[in-house]
Amino acid sequence: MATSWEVGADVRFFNNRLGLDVAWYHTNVKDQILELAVAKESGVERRFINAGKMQNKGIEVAINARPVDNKNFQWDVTLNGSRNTNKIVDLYPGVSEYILGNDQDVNVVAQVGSAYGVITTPYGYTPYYNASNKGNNGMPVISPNTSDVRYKFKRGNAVVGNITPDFNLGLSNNFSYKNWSFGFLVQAKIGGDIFSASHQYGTGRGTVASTIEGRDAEHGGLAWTDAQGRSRNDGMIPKGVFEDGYKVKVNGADVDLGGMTYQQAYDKGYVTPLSPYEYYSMVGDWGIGIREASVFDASYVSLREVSIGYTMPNKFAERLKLNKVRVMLVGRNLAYLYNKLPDHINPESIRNNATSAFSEYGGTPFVRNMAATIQLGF
Amino acid sequence: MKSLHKLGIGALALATFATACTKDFTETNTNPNISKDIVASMLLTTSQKAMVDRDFDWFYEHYQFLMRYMQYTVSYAEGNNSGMFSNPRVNELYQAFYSSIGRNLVEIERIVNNLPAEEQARWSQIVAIAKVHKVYTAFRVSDVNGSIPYNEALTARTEAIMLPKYDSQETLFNTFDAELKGAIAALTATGSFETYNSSSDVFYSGDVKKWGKAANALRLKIAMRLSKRNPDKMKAIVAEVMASPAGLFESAADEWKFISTTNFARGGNWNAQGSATRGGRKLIDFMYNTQDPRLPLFFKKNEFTEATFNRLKSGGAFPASAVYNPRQYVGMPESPDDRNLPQYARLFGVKSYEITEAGKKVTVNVDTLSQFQNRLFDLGSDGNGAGQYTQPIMTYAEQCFILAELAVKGIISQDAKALYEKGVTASVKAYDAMAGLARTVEYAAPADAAITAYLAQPAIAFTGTNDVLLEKIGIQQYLNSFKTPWNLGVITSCSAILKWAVFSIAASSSPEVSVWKRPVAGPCLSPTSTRPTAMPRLPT
Repeated sequence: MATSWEVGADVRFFNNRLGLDVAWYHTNVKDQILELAVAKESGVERRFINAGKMQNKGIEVAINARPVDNKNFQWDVTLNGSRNTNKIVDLYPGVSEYILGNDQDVNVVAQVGSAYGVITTPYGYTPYYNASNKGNNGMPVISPNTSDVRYKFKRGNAVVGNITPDFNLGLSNNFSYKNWSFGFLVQAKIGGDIFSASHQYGTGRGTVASTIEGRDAEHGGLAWTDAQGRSRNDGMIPKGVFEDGYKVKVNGADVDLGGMTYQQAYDKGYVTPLSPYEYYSMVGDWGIGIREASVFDASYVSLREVSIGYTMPNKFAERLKLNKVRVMLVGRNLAYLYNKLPDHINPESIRNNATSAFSEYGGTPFVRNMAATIQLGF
Repeated sequence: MKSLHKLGIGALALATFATACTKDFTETNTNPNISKDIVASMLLTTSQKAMVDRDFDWFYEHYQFLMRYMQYTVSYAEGNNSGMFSNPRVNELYQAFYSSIGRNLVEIERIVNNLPAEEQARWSQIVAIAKVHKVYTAFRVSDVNGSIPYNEALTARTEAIMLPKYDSQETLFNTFDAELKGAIAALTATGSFETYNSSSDVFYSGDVKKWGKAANALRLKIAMRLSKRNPDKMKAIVAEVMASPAGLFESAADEWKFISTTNFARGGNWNAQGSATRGGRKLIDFMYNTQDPRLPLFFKKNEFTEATFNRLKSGGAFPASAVYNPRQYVGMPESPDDRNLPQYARLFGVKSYEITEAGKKVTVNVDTLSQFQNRLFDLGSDGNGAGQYTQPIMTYAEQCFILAELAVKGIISQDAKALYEKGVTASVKAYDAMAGLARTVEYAAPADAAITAYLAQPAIAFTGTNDVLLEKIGIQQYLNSFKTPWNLGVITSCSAILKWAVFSIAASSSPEVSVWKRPVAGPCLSPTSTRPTAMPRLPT
């Protein structure tokens, strides 16, 4: 159930050549159907209840203008923008968090006091903290792993983002000159995070371009000798701190690396660099990877549409016994003028169309549409 | 025209809204795929299956933890030998009680309670039998967990209790006893009653008389836990059980067990995968030295046949002076530290021998240890042949041992020796039947003479002081619990009556059973504590 009030204004100037449409709204949504977990001992595991209170506040602005209006040339421009702020006021007594969705152990939740769609994961980094340690606190903790991948980042619970964008913007321009018309639409989303499984596992498997770094000397790889005695030039140093109490044997004696960064331990000769396989597995392996590393601000600016049209001269139309003949070329989803995600991951390739959708995992490639149309008027 | 059109759509929307809200509400919210008219007697089978189809428990709890904890088996040193306390996937029965086992059992009760009053009495035995299942399972769950939600549990659908409160063990045991007493009364009542048909009750095929006996036996077993905590109450319950018209198990034919078809317990989590399948040394030595007829039913011989020995010897693996030891039942030392002792070092792992045969170097692997009879637990093992799986729940042998204990303590006046010997005989026969059905490796039925001889062994014969007699009963309870390893952990640690035994070492040909006194208090029945503080310590 939603209760809403809205204040708006639609004002026009200069003989309708400039229009401003502003709306400010405030909506309270309550008594949503929530599926809550129940203590199994009760004999049921879940129940559906009506509960929750969510507040939406926002502003929508649209500016319409015709800056040029001559006999042969017109220019129309529309700029619209919206900003919505949202807050979960209440869920249900005793419930402060409600899981809306999950993908690869990344959750999107409704959290009391936060905006709808907080992204959390049990597989975040664990920040190092030791009261007596100066300098390295806050860096990710590294702990020993297997002989295959010698180290891993210590996984921990982390709040890693929020899906709600800061702004949505659209700019549309249409020009017409005599029989020609030309238009384009630019659309942008600023802010709002997503989890990219493509990036996560692409990193773990070394299939995304950003994992080229460190693979040879040219790409910053360090010279080192691996356990099999091979000389390599692909050594990498992870950014992190060894967990407290971690010791290695150096010349038969225990050396405590706890609280030391990998770089510091490397500089002192206590550890060898990691291979790119180890380095990127630490970030994006299915078993030990850090999902937090693949949560990004998915801001983008998209060139959504460009069109060009030509209306045939009347004489031509009359010859065909028609009122009007118009030819048009339209291209949609032509390019991202700006994409904050790494490795050209598509910010709109979200897994589903739920309100709480928050993750990307491959999916069908986004299609650039091109169309030619002929309009005939009878 | 245009405004009329709008009005039309508005009216349509309003109409849809109105009907959705009132008229079809119930219908819309009724799931057509769920039967709402199920007959109560059809709901038991699912719960029964969930009680015995517990491969997850077997793999993660019993093979990896309980059987090792009880020292029936030992983790194979060179195999998959995770630490005994490292596995977190235990206590799954707790989850199952509140879901796959318990829900249908309370649903049976709910359906009957919704019947007209005059109908309800006719269904009382259906409810009583469901109750026996519920008490048995909750009793086992409480053994491990102490206080558990019971009286308010499983009432979300009937009373909307979403956070059922925990009951202390004092409350639980009172409730269990009262419920069993009520069930026994219902099962011995006269009149005409609905029954489970033979195919919907996999344990007793709907035999109400046998359910009455099982309920009585279970009541007795639960009462034994009160021996120390509330002896007067225990005695009162024992007296009621002994006087009950329902009676107790009269033979193995009455006992509560599950026998599968040939299509059950095959592979997957039924298979221990070598994790802890080698027999414990103390147990095997004790059984070997007392010539226990169950030894070949529990364990397989190791791979050291005389032919293998001779082959290795002629290949140069052993000195010429080596003599074949025909004993092929060899257990593994329970303590991992024993691998450092020279006399046991050779027992750890599959032994690999480099020998020379016809001028060529050959490597021969021979397992020095006895494994348990895998097919008792996993019919997919040892050839995956036909066979049937048995899961005892409450056995006649166990009941005999309980009664023998009560007789020794003077609580009932019966012949303790006769009860003990009946129990031992029943246990051997029961494991013989299990092994026969499962078609274990080198299966042969023990001769009656072997049982008689066994009962005459000094360590087994029912002679000695009361303390010794009680200990001998305890040892037999232990041996009889091989297929129910959850059975004894609590009894042995909680009861001052049952002292525990350390099996004498193999070198001794006349084993002396030495008494093990528990060093610390275990999770004893305590009415006030909410949870056990620690698992009982291992016998050392």
